[in-house]
Formats: sequence, C-alpha cells, structure tokens
Amino acid sequence: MTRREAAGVALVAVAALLGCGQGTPAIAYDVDACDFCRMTISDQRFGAVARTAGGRLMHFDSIECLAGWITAQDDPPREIWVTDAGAPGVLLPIGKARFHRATVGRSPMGRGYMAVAATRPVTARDGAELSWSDVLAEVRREGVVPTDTTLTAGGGG
Amino acid sequence: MLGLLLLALAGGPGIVRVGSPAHPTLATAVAAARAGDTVVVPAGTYREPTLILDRPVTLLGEPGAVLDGEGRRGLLVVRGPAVTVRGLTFRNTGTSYQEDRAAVLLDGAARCTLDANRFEQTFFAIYLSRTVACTVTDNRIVGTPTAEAATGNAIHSWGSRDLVVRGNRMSGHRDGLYFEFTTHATVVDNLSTGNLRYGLHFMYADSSAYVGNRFLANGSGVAVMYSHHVTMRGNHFSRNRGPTAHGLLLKDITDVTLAGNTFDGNSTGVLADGANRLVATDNSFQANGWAIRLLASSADSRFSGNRFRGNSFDVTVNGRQAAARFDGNWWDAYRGWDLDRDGTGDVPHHPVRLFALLVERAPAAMLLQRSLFVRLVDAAERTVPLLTPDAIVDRHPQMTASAGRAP
Repeated sequence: MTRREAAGVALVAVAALLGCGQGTPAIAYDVDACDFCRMTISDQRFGAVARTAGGRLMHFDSIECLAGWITAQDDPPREIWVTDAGAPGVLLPIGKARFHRATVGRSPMGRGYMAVAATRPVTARDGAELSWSDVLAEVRREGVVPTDTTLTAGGGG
Repeated sequence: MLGLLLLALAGGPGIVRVGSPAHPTLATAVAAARAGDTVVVPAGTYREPTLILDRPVTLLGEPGAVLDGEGRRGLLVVRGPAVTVRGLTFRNTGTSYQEDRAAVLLDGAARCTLDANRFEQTFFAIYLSRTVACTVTDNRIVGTPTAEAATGNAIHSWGSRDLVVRGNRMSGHRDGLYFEFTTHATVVDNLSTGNLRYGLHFMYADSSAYVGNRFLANGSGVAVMYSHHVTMRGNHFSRNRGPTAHGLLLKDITDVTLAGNTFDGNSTGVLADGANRLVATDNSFQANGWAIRLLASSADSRFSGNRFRGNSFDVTVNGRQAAARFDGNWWDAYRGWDLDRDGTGDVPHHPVRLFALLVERAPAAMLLQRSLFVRLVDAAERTVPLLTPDAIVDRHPQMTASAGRAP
C-alpha cells in the first residue's frame, strides 16, 4: 500500500466514523431486523433504536425488545430513541417520551408497551401510564414474552 | 349453490334479496334476516356503513357484488355464531393507525365460514379476534403495497382456536398469514407470495399444523416464534431473498416436525435460534445460500433422510458445541464411497465447512468464497478436522438422493 492509498483509506475511515456519530437514526421498515428478537421491523408505531457505548446502532421492533436488550447489557446505551405512537415512523429521544400500555393495535411482541411524545396531551385512548424505569423493571422481572401466552382475551380489534 | 340461487331469484322462504323494494340496502336486508336466512347480494357496488352480522345468517354474493369502503372504513363485522360469507368482493378500506382496520373482522365469532371471497386494497383483509372453530377457505387477497403507505396482514388471527385456513391466496400485505395466541390451527394448501414482510408469521401459536402451503418470494420469508408442538409438512419455502430473509426462521420453538418440505433459492433455508427438539426428515434443501444455520441456543435437533443439493453452505453453526444429530442424509458435497454397495457411504460426512465457520464469525470473509485459498482450507479441514464441530457429522451419508430414508 502506498502512502497515498493509506491516506485515502484513513480519510474514508474518518468520514465513516463521523457519519455514523450524529443525528436521529432511522429504521428501514420491512428491511431491518430487530436486534433482540430477529423479527423484521414493520409496524411503524413501535420501533426503537439504541446507540451502544461503543457507538453501534441497535434496532428494535418494540419497546419490550429494547428493554429486553438493555437489561441484558453490561454497559448502558449512550443514546435511546423510541417511536411516538401518535406519529408513526417518528423517533424521539427517550427523554421526550412517556410510556403507556398500548391502546393502538397490539405491540409486535404482545406485551403492549407504547411510547408517546411527552408534549401530547393525555387522551382517553391512552392506557395506564408507566415510567421508563417501570418498563425496565417489568421486563427484567417477567421477560420480553407476555407472561400468559395462552391468553385469549383482551385488546380491541 | 344453483338451487340456492334459484331460490333467491324466486324470493323463496329464508331468502332476503338486497335491492328488492322491501330491502333496498344491504343494511336493511341484513336487519330483516332471521337466524338461518340467506341474504343474497346481487351484482353492484355497495357503499354503505360497516355492516354488522350478529345472527347465524349467510351472506351470499352473486358475481360482481362489491362492498366498497371508499378508503374510509372496514366493511363487515361478524359477531354472531355460524355466519357464512361467500362470493363477495371487499374493496378499498383505506389505512388506519388508530384501529387495526379490517375488511372483514370476526370478533368473538364461532363456527363461521369465509369462503370464496375476494379482497382488493384492504388494510387487514380478514381479522379473526377471539374466534372459535372458524373456517377461511379459497379467498383471494390482493394488495398493491407502496413504500409510503403501511399495510396490515392478509389473514390475521389473534386469540383464536381451532381455526382452519385452506386454499387461500394472498399477496401484497405486511404478512400473508399472521397468528398470535392462536392454537390448534390447521393451515393447508395456501399460497402466500410477494408480501412485504412474512409469508407466514406466528407467535404463541401452539399445537398447529401447516401442510402443503407455498411461501414464495416474501420480503423476509417465514418466521415462527415462541410456540411449541408445530408440524410443517410438504410446504414449499422458495426465493425468499434479502439480508434478513429466511425460508424458515425458528425462534424459541419447541417440538417442531419438519417433513417433506422443500427449501429452495432462499438466503437461508432454515435458521434455528432457540429451537428445541426439532425433527427434520425427508426435506429438500436446494440452491440456498445457507441450507441450515443452527445457533448454539438450539438443542436436541435431528436431521435424517434430507437432501442437500447446490447450497453454498449446507450447515453452519456458531459454536463447536452445537448439539444436533445428522444421520442418513444425502449430500451433493459428499466425497466418500460405498464399496459394500449398501447405498450408504463408508466414511462419515462432515457437513460444516471450515469456511462457513469463518463467515459466521466474519461475514466479510464471504468475498473469498470462490477462491483457491478457501478450497484448500476446506480440503485440509475435511482431511483433519480441527475446528469444525465433531458432533456435526453424518455417519450414514446416502449415496443417492432418492435413498432419503429415516433410519
């Protein structure tokens, strides 16, 4: 490798590092797979993204998969984004969201968490409110999969 | 059927005909129908508020009968028992994020039949919620998805049991078939193709059988998760290609039988992640990138009498401890011999190539796939296996593909 080639490689590497460090990430729906449960991410009301301490972006199809992944990590993620269920496909920093039991459809893993922009007024459609630490504690205690998988009632059509 | 139509024309007992002076609209006809009656819907396009069926009646469409949601609403809600809906076209529900809007919603219904209907441009086409012993047969479900607009599933079942789904064709939805909390389902002879995500997807769906279905060219193939006692027999998993596509993804599945299925032209034929007590016999794996990827989270799998032909990799594992038994399969990569002519190779076959392990650790190594270096590495490993898992070995490789037997 000549010095010139080496410089070129270094430049590309630096550009790549800069490029992946900034801004709100995006989920490629129907293409990206959930980094926790492997399902292809499709429902635009429930997606979430975390940036690891090492800078890598992890994509999730649901709040419960995000929480499940976090509870399995040694180091907390550097940044987290969740989808505002009131604006499908729009990711918010987690600090700007509140959490509810899902009332719009059913979450991809069936535990039924949803995030909503904190600025949105609470409506009759919102289920019980939870804090993010409530969500983490529930998932740590019960896992990502619904506790009663033989369930045959609940939720609206 | 003909008799029924004649009866309908005659306006005989038990027949309520939409468009007659007494019943000018669908809603009035349905309101007038008593239990056991048949509501006949003549050709025409009906733009009416969502229809509700709460008694055991039959809704029978004559050719050309179309219910149109004008992009704003679901078309039919079935709440009663023993309702039959046959021969209708449901069209144009529009998209809704606030509700899982469906052309036909069966909500708490039992012993209902949806037969020979057509669905065009629907968000969810058929949505079964808390149903018991319903039958969905010979429906045609067609969507034209765009990248911008989200779509629901063609046939979606939640919290139901004893469901029969047979002979349907579905395309252009998020998932062709999606079952959640649905047990004792029988899914036979369906064609699910060209859906955005999965041809078939189920979670928490125990004790179900999938027989003779075709899942072709769906965005991510088929994914089945968090279920036990699943039988898949004689299905075709084909041309599911993409970085996250699998012919069949088994995730946290226990007691699954795969028999007589064909996996061809997929990025990955079968990916087993947390699959326990998987028994695979008499399946064909052809022209896949990976025929079988077994993750260490899977335990106690058995593969016998299967045929492996023209795959880039037949088997890969992500650890030396992978626990799976291969016995009596046919491998086109087998280089052994059969001096005693008993149809079984005299030396064992190690189906995991060293190069496959390298790729499993470092996907970029795939660049070297056709290189001389890789051929030398694989040849060396075949001769003196050092790194590939000892446990993954077929001690009775078959000499001919037709000899696929289950010892």
